[in-house]
Amino acid sequence: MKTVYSESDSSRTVSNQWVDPVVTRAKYDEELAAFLAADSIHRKRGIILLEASFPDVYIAFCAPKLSPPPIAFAVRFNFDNYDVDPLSIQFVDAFTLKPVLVTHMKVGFTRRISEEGADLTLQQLLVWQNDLVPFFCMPGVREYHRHVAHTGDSWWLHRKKGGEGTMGFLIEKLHTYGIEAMSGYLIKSNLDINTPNVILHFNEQSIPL
Amino acid sequence: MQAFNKKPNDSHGGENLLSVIVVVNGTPYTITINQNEKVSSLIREALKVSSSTGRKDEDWRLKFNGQVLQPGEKIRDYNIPSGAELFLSLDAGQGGCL
Repeated sequence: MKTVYSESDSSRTVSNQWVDPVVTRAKYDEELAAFLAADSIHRKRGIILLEASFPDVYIAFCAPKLSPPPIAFAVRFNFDNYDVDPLSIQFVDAFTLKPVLVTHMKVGFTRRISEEGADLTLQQLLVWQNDLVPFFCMPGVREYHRHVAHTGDSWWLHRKKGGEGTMGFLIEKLHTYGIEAMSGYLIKSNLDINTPNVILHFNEQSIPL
Repeated sequence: MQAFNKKPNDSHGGENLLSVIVVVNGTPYTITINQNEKVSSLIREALKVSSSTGRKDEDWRLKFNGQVLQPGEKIRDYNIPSGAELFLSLDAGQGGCL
């Protein structure tokens, strides 16, 4: 196993690349190009590229329906050994690109698993263990396939099947379960207020010259 | 003799043709289709154009403005404007923790 230093080391110091880096780089370039080709479409939906530095791609997910539109979450896609290994999704701070703990997260990525007409049953796709490092628990994600609870669901059962596990696919899933159903800001006080619009407040004493 | 007032593009079904952008797993494709076709035809065409094979048509979900389009319905029933962006994505497998 060859250990190389990643070009993108804002949050990592060493990667473990054992697939020929030329192969991984080619797939990285292809998937990044596909994203950039639809950049304006993604942007309208609040999906914004923050940085692309092999083997990582950082993307922020905003909620344009709300006013002002928040950055709901941001992720780092890591392409180490892709696509012999699936992509890794790590949740990061959109401004520093540093990994965050689950305590930082405001989105649970809820998925409805009950059929229409049946009692509503929801499932949270954001999970974590004792280390509080959140991960997106879905087939096609490295963290899912490496988890002990999913050893029977190999990445190789999903790889190359209709694009499952590509960055485009994962972006769609993050958007579907993280943004689509978002309807407003929930202000909790003695009275819960759910509104798509909030007014930003400015401290008059701090307004600069 | 009765005169027929034929619309110029009737013989080619032009007025029924709709050109949309279908984003398949994040990649956009322009597709032109007859609006009297069912949504399932649009899905099949998008999968063919994007070479997205390996999964059944039923495993894909087509959305417009956040609304899931039912495969058995006609495209025309959804009043989709020309040039609209639709999103076709593969259903994800079971995940999470119950």
